[in-house]
Amino acid sequence: MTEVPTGAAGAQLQTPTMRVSSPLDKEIRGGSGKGSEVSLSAFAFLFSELVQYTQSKSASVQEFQQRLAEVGYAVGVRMLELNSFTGKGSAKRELTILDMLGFLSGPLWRRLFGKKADRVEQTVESGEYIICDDNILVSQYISTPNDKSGLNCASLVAGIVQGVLDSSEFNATVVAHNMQSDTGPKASRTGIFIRFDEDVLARNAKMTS
Amino acid sequence: LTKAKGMPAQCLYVVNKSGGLIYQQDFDGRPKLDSNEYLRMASAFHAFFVIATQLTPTDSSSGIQTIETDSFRLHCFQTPTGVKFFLTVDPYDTGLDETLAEIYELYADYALKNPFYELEMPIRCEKFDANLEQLVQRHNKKNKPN
Repeated sequence: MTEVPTGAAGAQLQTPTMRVSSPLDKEIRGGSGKGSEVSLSAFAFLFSELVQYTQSKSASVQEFQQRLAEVGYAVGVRMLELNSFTGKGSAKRELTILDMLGFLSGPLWRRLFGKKADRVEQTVESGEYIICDDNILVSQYISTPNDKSGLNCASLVAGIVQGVLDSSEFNATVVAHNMQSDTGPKASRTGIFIRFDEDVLARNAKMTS
Repeated sequence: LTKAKGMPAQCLYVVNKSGGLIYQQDFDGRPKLDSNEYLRMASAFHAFFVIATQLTPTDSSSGIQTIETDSFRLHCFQTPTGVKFFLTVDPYDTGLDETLAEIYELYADYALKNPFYELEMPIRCEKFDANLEQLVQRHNKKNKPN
């Protein structure tokens, strides 16, 4: 009688037709539902600490925004991968600028913040595209003091957008700016300003003509 | 001193653990005093509070909850971390405990989650002010004088 070898967890090694359950086999919790939600307060405290840490490491407002954007960049790259794997209608790749902006302000924003971005605008002069959010989630509890008005904590979101764009071959420079809000100081109306590179614009023109 | 009608809430004082004033706001349009006056009043409240916990006939006391007079009432809410929220209101006003708890919630949201706010320091957060004003207006509407 041969001994049945045991697996790593001490479980009996099954015949080839049955798979041993491991964490790698479980579904990635994605899309909507309880598994994909995190406490807003927990995130707010963590983000507050991240902002303070970044401030201590930065010598200027520029450097601060850049460091925060770098953190967001890593998130953006991974977010795109995750979305391609588990998101709704995820098999499609966006090829034109307008489709890409639609993806960013729709499915991606919903994935990250639970709602669509409020508006997508385009400036006439400089050819920049702006994704507007009237009350961006990451800065919801943050009131920047007047002497630090150039500092924008939504730079994290700008980094996320840049990460997604770079990974989808839409190289761009992305910056976050505060925009005038008519609801007063209660909400932080923020615009994510996207300036696509020349070759991307040229390619887009060829594709849409 | 002409007071605006229909505004039972008078003033809010927020005092930190060591007795220093970290926030003060008037809601009924009264003339503003010198900032040192406010600091002195807050320290006085804090001192009464500490004395009250010692004077209590029972074993433990959480300090002063209400002070009632003919012209106003003072409610106090103490957090587990020692921060005290004092609200002075007109004598007929109700629902203070709920309002003070909501003010505490606003503090936890717009002051504590703000990376630019240092603990125990004066609260200078725009969103805290704006949301507080809205909260007090809602409270005043709920408690209109009959």
